[in-house]
Amino acid sequence: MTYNNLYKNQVDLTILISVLYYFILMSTEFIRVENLCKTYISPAERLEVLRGCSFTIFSGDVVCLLGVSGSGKTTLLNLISGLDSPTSGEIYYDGVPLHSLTLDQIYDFRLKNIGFIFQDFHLLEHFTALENVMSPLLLQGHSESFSRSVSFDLISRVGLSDKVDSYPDQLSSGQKQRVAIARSLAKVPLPRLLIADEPTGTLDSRTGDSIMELILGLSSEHNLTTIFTTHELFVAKLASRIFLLRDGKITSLSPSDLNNESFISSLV
Amino acid sequence: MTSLPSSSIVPSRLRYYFRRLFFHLTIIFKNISSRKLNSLIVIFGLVFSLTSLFVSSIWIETNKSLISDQYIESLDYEMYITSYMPYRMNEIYEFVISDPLVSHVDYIYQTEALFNFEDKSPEYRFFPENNQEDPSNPISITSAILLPSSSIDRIGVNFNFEGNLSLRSNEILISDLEARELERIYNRSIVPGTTINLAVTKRIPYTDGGEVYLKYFDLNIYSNFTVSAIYTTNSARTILNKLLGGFGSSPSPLDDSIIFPLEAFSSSDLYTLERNGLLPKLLVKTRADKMRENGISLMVDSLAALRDRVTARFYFSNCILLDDEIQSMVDEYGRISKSLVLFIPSIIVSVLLVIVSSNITINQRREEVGILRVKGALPYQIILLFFSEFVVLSFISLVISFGLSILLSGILTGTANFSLFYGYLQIPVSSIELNTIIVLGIYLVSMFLKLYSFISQEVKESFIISTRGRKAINKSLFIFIFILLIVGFIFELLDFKESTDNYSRSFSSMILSVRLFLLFIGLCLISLYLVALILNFILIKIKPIYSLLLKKSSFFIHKNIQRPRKSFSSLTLFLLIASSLLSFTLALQTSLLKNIADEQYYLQGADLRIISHSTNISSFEEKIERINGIEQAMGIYSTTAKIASLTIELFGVDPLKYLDIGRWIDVSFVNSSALEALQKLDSDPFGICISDYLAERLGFSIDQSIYISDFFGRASFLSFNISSLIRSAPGLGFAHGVNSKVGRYVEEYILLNKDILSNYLGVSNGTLFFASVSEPKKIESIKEQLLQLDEVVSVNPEKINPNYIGYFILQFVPDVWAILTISVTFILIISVVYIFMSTNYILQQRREEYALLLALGANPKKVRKMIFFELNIYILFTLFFGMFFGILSALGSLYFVKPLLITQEIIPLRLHVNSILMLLIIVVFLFTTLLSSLSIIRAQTKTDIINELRIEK
Ligand SMILES: Nc1ncnc2c1ncn2[C@@H]1O[C@H](COP(=O)(O)OP(=O)(O)O)[C@@H](O)[C@H]1O
Ligand SMILES: [Mg+2]
Repeated sequence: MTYNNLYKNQVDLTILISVLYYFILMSTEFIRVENLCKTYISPAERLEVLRGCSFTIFSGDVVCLLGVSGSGKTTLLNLISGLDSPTSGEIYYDGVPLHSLTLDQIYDFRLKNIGFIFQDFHLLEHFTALENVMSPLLLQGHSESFSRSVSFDLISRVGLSDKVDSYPDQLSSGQKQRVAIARSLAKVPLPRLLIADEPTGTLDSRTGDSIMELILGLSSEHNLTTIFTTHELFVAKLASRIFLLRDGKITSLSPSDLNNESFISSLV
Repeated sequence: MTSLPSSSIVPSRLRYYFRRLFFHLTIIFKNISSRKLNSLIVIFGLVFSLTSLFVSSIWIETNKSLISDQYIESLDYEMYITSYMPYRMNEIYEFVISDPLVSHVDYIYQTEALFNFEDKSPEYRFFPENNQEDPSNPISITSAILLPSSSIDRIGVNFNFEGNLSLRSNEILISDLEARELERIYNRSIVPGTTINLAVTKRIPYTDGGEVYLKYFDLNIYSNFTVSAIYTTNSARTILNKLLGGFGSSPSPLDDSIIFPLEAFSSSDLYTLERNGLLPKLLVKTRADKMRENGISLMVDSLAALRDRVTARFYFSNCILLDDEIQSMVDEYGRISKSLVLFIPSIIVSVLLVIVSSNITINQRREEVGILRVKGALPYQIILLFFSEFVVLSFISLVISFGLSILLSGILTGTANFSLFYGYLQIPVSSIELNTIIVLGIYLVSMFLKLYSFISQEVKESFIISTRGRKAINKSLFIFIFILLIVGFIFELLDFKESTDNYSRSFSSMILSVRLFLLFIGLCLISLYLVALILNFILIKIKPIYSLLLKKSSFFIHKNIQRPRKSFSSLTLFLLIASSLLSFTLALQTSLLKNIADEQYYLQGADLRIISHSTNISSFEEKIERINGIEQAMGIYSTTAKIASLTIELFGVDPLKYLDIGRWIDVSFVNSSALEALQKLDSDPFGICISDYLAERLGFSIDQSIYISDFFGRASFLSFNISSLIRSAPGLGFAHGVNSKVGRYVEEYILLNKDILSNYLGVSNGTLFFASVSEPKKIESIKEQLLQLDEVVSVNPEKINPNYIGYFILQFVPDVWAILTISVTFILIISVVYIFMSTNYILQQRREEYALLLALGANPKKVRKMIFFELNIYILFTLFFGMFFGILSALGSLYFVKPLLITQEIIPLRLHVNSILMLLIIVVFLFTTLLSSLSIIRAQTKTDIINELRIEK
């Protein structure tokens, strides 16, 4: 059995498990955020970015975090992914509070469960496209050849099979983001949570559209819980659930609200 | 009223310019202070390289005059004049005293003095001495040296004395040996202050030899003279000793004599003596500052010119110079000052540090340059900005360096002579200027090249010469320089081969050695560049090794090693150069120290080296052997004789005892072991060992017979068999060549059976003894016991020959090994600074990457491990190759740097590598790496990850 086949079997297995999850745990809570506060304290000022956010995300949700620039979207994502710790409040994964984990466990959790897509890609400049995709797998401890074949499949999936050996500075922004998307999925088994922080922020609108399409397509294909942030309404419309972040508080919106002219004008 | 406005404009314009200048200065200082660490490193590197260059030129220039003056001051005289027309001596005196080179001229007469003659009749027979008429109440005859009272200041250097060294008109100085004899005769103690009667006399000429009667002497009787001091001689290499024939191991007449004030003589007394054939001689003391006027290396020449001026006018005169001694001082000083060239590795490394740190600064300010360009700053304005910073930094460094070098050159000269040094302080302006231009020029050029590559990045593409073309030119230039260096090196090496003999290092070979050293260092630098390229290539190619060592992270490490930018591969060249120059210098230093220690051990000769007054050898041997703890003792029988026209010293030994006691080495004899050679010598009573030089010069080989003549200057000869060829003997130094380290000043000695000397030639007394002890631990207590004996002068002296010229020089300047030690220390410090700076810089640049890896879920421990591993691959590889290369270079260069390291190769100078020190260097390097990377990794905290990944950053 080649590694490729092995991987396919594993993917099948993951899909199976995901499907099972979907049925058994459908509408079961995945992430619960309770009264989350974050205050940045610097000698110059005291900046209360989040002032008590509470919400619940169920597995399989595609959540959009909508908010103007500087409203604290990235801060909230950092807290959710455990890169930063809150001033007060709590985050639960499957009912387990994040703060109860050790630092090592948090790193491990991130490595296994979370895929990241950044606004400015953050590719390793001295790695080829393929190698960039391989890096999470290698960090997970998979062998080089196994990681290579898995990554090759992923990079084909994002439509860059002819660019595997290109270095980031030889790729366009859209292509870089595709590599980043492939990298965010490069875990075996697949990550449970996909976090994309303004994935289209630095792209022109046409490329942005296709990138969003790709992200959402992949997430629904593998039934991944997905959180993405944006400050643009039309991007937010693609999500199944929308959280508005304003004045450090979260308001849940329904997609239909976004068609309501008067509501939109109240946002601005 | 047109004059009014202009007068008001001028000051406001001035004010405007002032304000602008002030504004620029504040910007410059802000730039410098905002990059404190980098500015400090640049200043450190500049100060170091400038200071070391300044110190060496100030030091050489000042010490040249200081040492030559001090040396001349330490001598009694530099020349003596004899004449076979004694009545015209006053003409010579008048001429010499008026010569500008001369400071003093003294008359000296050497005649005889009698004691205890008062109650004897003219018919009293008192010679031969051991057969006097009345042995119970004998006359004592001794040599009398007549000198003017004022000369006491100068002749004092010849003596160790008890009492008060003065020579007023009723005072005399008596040698220790004579004082003892007088004590026996008079049966009362002779101490400083005792009064005594004597007669200064000269035997009437033309009396027959053999028996000597008192009537043969014109007695000039002097009563109640005070003994002002009792002296022993120290066999310093002075004119007085040269005049009286007391150089080296043959006993000086000064040892058994009195010194009498010339002023005590009436002119009629002196006339009587002169009529009887007493010849005056002139002692000439020169002015030190005039002696070195034409340069220190021409001091002997200045003296020779004085001799020529005298003999050109007075054909009947003969001038004898202290030329060998002065020349050996010049040579020895020349060697130490030339050996400062061994400091060059550390200067190279510090210049490299300056280049690297200025490049890093510019690299860090890449963005700033870009912004300035975008804002419309013209290239010249950007260059001006950097240039003004350069001016400020250089100025600061220059001021610090100058002050520091004046201070350091004094400290280097030794604190004891601190004030002396500053009294002589000389600042060679032109060489300081040159040094400044070279160091700052290198800095400036490297800075501009880097800056230019940034500013002209857009223009670059349109260059007529493409990058590939330029690379080809670089390559051919590189090969050209390489070949040039090799050719130059080979030529100089051939020249060098011709100019050296096996034993001593001449001045010209030192200069050649300096040239070879410089070429060699150039070659090393270029080769190291190649090695660095190869090494970086190898490091990329050995991926399997990484995966073997670090299975999981090997991929990341290998990628990092492969990367073109932000890679530690930029460390390779510098570290290679630093570590190879470091181990090169260290290897030379340890080899030299080992050689010095071995040589001291060998020259000591045996467990115990005992110097005595002249005493009967066989009875003293027995006396020594009676001391508890001493196994065997052996005295050296010696006398002088001639082979052909060469004066030689004969050393008579008991071969088998010498074999046991002496610290023989495998190269003591040529083509034979000490065991074979000495057993052979023992079995053949007429066997001798001669030097290989003598054998070659006279065309003799082993087992041929050879005549030795002129024993004690008498016309007689004996035939001997050449038993083996000797290179050197423990305790006696080389068989050929002047051995000033052991205090032997005859060119050649031969080793033979003592029985010849004692049985055939009647030698019974000696002054040098060797002994072995049964327990090395007890050596100190045995030494104490030996020093209790009357005969013993010294045991295991720390300095085998305290009058060795090298020791004089070392009062003022540090030895070569110290120069090497300082060099090693500095290279080490600079390397540590460099490693710290570069790893810090590279890791800073990679912070974003590491933050990303952490965000992706990499464990910080893993990241840390990866960084350590990667860094250590570079450090260890470069250290390994650098040290290997450095030790190899040290081995290769030992042959031609010898003249800078040692004066005489008594023990062959071999490479000696101290593995503990080498290991220590590796540890220091690794520790520095650890420390510098740790500081970065520790800073990589959680909040840092977020900050590094933020867009606004
Ligand atoms: N590490 C930090 N220290 C201080 N202030 C911060 C830090 N990170 C973010 N901020 C501030 O918090 C606010 C929210 O930032 P962010 O979460 O990046 O907003 P968004 O992603 O919605 O644009 C901003 O005003 C920003 O300046
Ligand atoms: Mg943001």
